Amino acid sequence: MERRLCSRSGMLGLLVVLVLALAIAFGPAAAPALAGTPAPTAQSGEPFYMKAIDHDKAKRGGTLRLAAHGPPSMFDIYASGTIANVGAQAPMYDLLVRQDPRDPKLPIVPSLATSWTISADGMTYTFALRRGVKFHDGTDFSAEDVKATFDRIVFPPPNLLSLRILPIKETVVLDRYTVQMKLSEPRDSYTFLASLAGGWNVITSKKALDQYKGDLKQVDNFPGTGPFMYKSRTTESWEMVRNPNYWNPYAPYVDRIVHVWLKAWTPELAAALLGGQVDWGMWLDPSAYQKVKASPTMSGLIWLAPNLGSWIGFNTERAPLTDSRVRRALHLALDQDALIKITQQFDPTVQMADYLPPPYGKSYEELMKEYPYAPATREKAIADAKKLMAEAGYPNGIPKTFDFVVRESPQNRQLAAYAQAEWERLLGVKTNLEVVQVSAMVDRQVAGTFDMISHAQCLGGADLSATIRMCYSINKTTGKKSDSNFTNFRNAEFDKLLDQFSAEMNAQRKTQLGRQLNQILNNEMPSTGVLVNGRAYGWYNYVKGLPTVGGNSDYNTYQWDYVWLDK
Amino acid sequence: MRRYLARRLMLVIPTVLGVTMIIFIAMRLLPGDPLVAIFGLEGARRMTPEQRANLEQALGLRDPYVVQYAKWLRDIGSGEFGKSLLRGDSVTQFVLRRGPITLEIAILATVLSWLVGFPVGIVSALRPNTRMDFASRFFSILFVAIPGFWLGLVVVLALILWFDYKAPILPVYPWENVGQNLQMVAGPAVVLGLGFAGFVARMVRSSLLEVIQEDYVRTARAKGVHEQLVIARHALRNAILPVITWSSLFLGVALGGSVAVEKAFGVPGLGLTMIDAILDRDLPVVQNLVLLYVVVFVVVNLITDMSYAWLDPRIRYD
Repeated sequence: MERRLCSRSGMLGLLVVLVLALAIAFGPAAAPALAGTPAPTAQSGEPFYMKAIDHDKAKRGGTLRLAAHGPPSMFDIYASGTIANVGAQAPMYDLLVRQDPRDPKLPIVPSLATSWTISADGMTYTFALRRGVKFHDGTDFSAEDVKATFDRIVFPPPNLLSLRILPIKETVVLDRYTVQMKLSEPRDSYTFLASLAGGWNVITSKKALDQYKGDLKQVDNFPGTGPFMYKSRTTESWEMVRNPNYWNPYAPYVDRIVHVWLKAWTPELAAALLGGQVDWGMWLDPSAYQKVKASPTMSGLIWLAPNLGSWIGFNTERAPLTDSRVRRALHLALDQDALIKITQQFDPTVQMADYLPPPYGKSYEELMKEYPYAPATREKAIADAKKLMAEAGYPNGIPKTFDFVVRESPQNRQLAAYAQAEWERLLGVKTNLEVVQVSAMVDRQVAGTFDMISHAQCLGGADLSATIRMCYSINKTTGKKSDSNFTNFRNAEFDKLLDQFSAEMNAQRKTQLGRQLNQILNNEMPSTGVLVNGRAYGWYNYVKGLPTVGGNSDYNTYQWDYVWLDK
Repeated sequence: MRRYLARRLMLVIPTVLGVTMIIFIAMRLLPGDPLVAIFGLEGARRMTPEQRANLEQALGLRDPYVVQYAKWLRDIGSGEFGKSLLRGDSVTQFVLRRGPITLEIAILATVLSWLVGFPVGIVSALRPNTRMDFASRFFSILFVAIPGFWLGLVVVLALILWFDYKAPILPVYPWENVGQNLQMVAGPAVVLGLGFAGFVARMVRSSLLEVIQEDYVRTARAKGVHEQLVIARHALRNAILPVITWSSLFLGVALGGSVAVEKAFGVPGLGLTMIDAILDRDLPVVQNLVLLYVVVFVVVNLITDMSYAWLDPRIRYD
């Protein structure tokens, strides 16, 4: 049941419904959006304020103790790709617009922008900003701060990083409380607004960015306008207190939050949560999650990771892996059901996925009924694999030992060992497993010094086309392969279709394009073992306001202004 | 005495320098990319070569090893022990926050080893080859032989099953809450202390057995001095010297041994910090903590040597 609730198909279906609902609900703007309907815009009239789901019953006060994956290695959230930053820092900041964390469908709601309009061609967004908002250092919030923040994100200084990919050409201050964003390439409005609402795009002050020249690595208290304010940070925890001047008169409910650093998936995290030393824990190991679900005093849910990628990537530039027949044969030789079972030993939420999520790719349920995933089709898959190898000129195996770089983790090691055994047994393909620490993976990935590589995943976000580009295409600015395109996959037709896909506003046409992209990937097979995994959360029932069904972007849910304690 | 102290201090310098060189080289031989540690896999992957070069330059990673080593020594000299690659904290913060917990465990373990080891060793020496002696020797050897981390795990398991034990997630200092602090440090201190107590008991036994054969002990007895006074004033005072030497080593071993025991008990001390840093390849933390341990070890040994003259008037350093 859990899997059904959390499946990609389910969530994407909900997403499409949501987009349609938003489009219908939010007025007659002429801007393009998915399904050819009006784009979502903020409601006029009564201003929006984030409240607890059961606001009328909510109690105030108390300390919320959070088991947070961390600590962060630095504090420049714009340059970070880890939950250690966004998980801990989010409560001190606000976003321009926000995905409603109370609703797993994550509809867009106002935050520091109270409303917005979209031009007819969908290329210009004008945001009206909230007035009377102050940063924690007492500075007034204005449009200049929004511009400075997004300039830091989109156009980082040469020596600084930004991991966020936003199709913004220019951010213009129209007046003190109005800011305009011009897009560099078209996006449907939900995708663009959801991208802005990514938990990493926190608004800080122009003053702070100027003061630190955009480099916030060592600044753990750069000013925000968020519901909680920095109080203290130690080597074990980070404490924040309620912002007494918060612009939202209803929130936050708790007086104090304490992030205690407990690494994800560890027994220490499980012990702290199940032992009642923290009220809420993130990214639990499977065993702890089962205990949470079995406890009458606790609740838990799974959010799906929005990442794309595979567990085993092929270097498509190294012969004979340049031949898609060889790659397909290697894919067919692996029992996908066995792959699932191996990975589910470590994480029961893992499930098989298509290259792209539904509606562009097939859902887990669909895949597992079909060739070559269905167990009943295993024999045919093996026969086809051998046939493909013969067609590629290797009927008796390949006279080469492939260099298979494996990320150090029990899960990756077992997957690699299984693949190694099956490839040699069925196809005569020998591999040499080279297990490397995560810190040594990047060199190998960037240098391309491998034949196969495990854990070929790339960080996902709200903009699927950007994630696909990162994983399987070229960087449009540099013209070189994208940073996370480990497999060195290059396909001109794919790149062209991807451009069309990212700019397409019509849902039906977009779906068609997405399916074509997915089909090319299935034909070319740059990787195998395409799996998606979930992230398990648990908390005590006295923590109120949290959704009970997970969505597919937990990165945007950590502000804690909608949560209260019933104790 | 002063000349001896000066000579010993002169020896400390090359010892510590030698250690710094070994640590520095060992850390450079380990594989891994510091930028991955700082920015995560995704961040490190998305860097342009220019950004990577700038960041490596800023971190001093592009300097020749000799320059990096000299900078590290300079930082140590100025009291700046660098910053963790994976945590937004400096090594100094770690030491100031977690050091007291580890020091407390080490001191408590040493004190406990004396409280248990001395009586057991004395009784064993004064009643050789009796049942009590056999029992004390058996348990001494047993606790010496059992690895601390294993005993720690057994104790933790017992505490969990019978007392609903919860590993501490935040340090509590004695000046904040003595009871909670003791709950945190007592387990590791007992586990380490029992192991040391075995050593102390065996050392006291063998030392005392030797001393009570000496002429001055026989003389004291012949003068009619009470047996308890003979042991306490004459025999034990002389037998204590090797025990003091060992105990000073215990303090150093307690710091090192606490690495595994703190992990077993989940106590947020320097030992746990060291384990996490090693697993995460957090080089600055490992490098500076190892150095700290070495310096503590050397200093404790120096103080021990100095204490000999005070304990035994026969010893002169000039």
